[in-house]
Amino acid sequence: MDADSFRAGLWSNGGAESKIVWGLRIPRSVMGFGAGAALGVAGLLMQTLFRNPLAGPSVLGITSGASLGVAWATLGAGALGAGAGLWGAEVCGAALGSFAVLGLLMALMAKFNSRSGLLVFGLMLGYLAGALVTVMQAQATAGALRAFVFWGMGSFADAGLGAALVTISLAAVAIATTWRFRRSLDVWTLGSSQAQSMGVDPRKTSRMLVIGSGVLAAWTTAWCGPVAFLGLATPHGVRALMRSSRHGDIALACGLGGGALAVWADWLAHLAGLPLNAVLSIVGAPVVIAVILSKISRNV
Amino acid sequence: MSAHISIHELVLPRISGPLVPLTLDIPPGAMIAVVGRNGCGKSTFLSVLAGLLSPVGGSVAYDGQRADRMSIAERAAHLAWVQSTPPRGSALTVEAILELASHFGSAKNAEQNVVEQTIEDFDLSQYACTPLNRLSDGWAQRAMIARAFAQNTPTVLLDEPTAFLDLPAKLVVFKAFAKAQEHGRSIVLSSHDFDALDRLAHVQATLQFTSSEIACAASFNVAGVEAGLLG
Repeated sequence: MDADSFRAGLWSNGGAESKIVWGLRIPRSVMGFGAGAALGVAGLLMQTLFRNPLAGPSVLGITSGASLGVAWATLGAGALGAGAGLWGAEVCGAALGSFAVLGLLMALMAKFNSRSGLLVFGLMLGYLAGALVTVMQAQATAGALRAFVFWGMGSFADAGLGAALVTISLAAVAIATTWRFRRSLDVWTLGSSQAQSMGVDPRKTSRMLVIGSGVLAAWTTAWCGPVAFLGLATPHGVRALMRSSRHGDIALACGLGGGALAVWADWLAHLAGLPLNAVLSIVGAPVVIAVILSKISRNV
Repeated sequence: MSAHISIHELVLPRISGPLVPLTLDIPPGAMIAVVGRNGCGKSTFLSVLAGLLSPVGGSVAYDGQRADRMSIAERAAHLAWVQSTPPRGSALTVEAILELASHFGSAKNAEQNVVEQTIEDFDLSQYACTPLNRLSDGWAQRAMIARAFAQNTPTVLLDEPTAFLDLPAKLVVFKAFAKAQEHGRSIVLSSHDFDALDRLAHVQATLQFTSSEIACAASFNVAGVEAGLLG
């Protein structure tokens, strides 16, 4: 679609062009921007929680839970002859799986106040989910298998404008909350004990970080699949560009930057006819390597 | 003068050694040095003073409020503490850390002044804009000690504050400690560094932890140290 027909579709009522612009292009871009913003902020919150630059929205096992939910909806239900291929089955499966994992995480945190415990839990959950998914894959039909594989490639095209606007609102709330607690989060980077000495509650802070990034990751994964690299790479790029790692400086930039990156990657994917996750990984992996290497060489 | 810190019949958890209850009133402006061999319970004692660990028996109170019953925010208004090893991962600059400390501490209206004064007292101006993860261990520890003082609390607890410091650095921090004491702030620190304590610090009382008892030598009137007297 060229610029003229886009413009025609934008301003006309009815007609094929209008349907393409309002039914496909705009929801896809808005969803891309919202999902990118949500994942950029979620990545920042995870890197803060674990004080580790390699953390991303997927480390808590929420994406694994989503993938198990989708596998159940597309492969498992298909084998039973019910539910497969129904519209919304993937979204419901992913939402069910990811929010179930988030619930488990919260229960775990209420009992134990341990970040390494969370990390092990997320990692092991990933293995478990992976195993159950292969069991279902082994028994699935070719069509169902194909649907599941496509879900794993990530896409902004399957959500409507409503879901896209909710995603943007969630990201905006997360950015505002990060800004509101920017000083506590800055102090958190000094370690739990220093933070506590300064009056910042470690329990409350880690719970807030898990809920924030968990809800963002779960919602985004439900609508777009496991979008790769955005959450991990965006905060690195923003910190390097802004020359700051203070939450007050970078929270909004992580949202806007993640959104812009997502829309740009989706445009590339659309042009080249590639899956979204392929583009994101091809672009994202070298960026992360470059940032980490430059950090290492500066510290030596 | 009223006591900042009242330790009443305190029995420490975790250690096998002294189960003799310790009673001690620490007046404003006092410096208490906790000395003893590795593993004798110095850090445990400081953790109990900080309200991070509950004692097996007895209590620690700041201006009448029990340390283990305060909220985290209340505690941060009464006392600041620094562990023996400075954190190394943070990219916050020294100045930003001091600003945050004074923001969360009990000197809210004088924020800028406190930061400047602390940088001067601890002679940190050459590293004020350096991120913590670029500092050496010694400078990071000095910044963390300064952080506790920028919080402007009546009490500061320090676990091995001089462990990474060279002699000039020790001179600077002990001078800053003395100034804080003059302003009525109490300091409790643990140390192996007898030499520096002896020559540089204004220590009013020494609590010596041994495997069987806590011995106390004090220049002020100690309200019944039941653990025995030294010196």
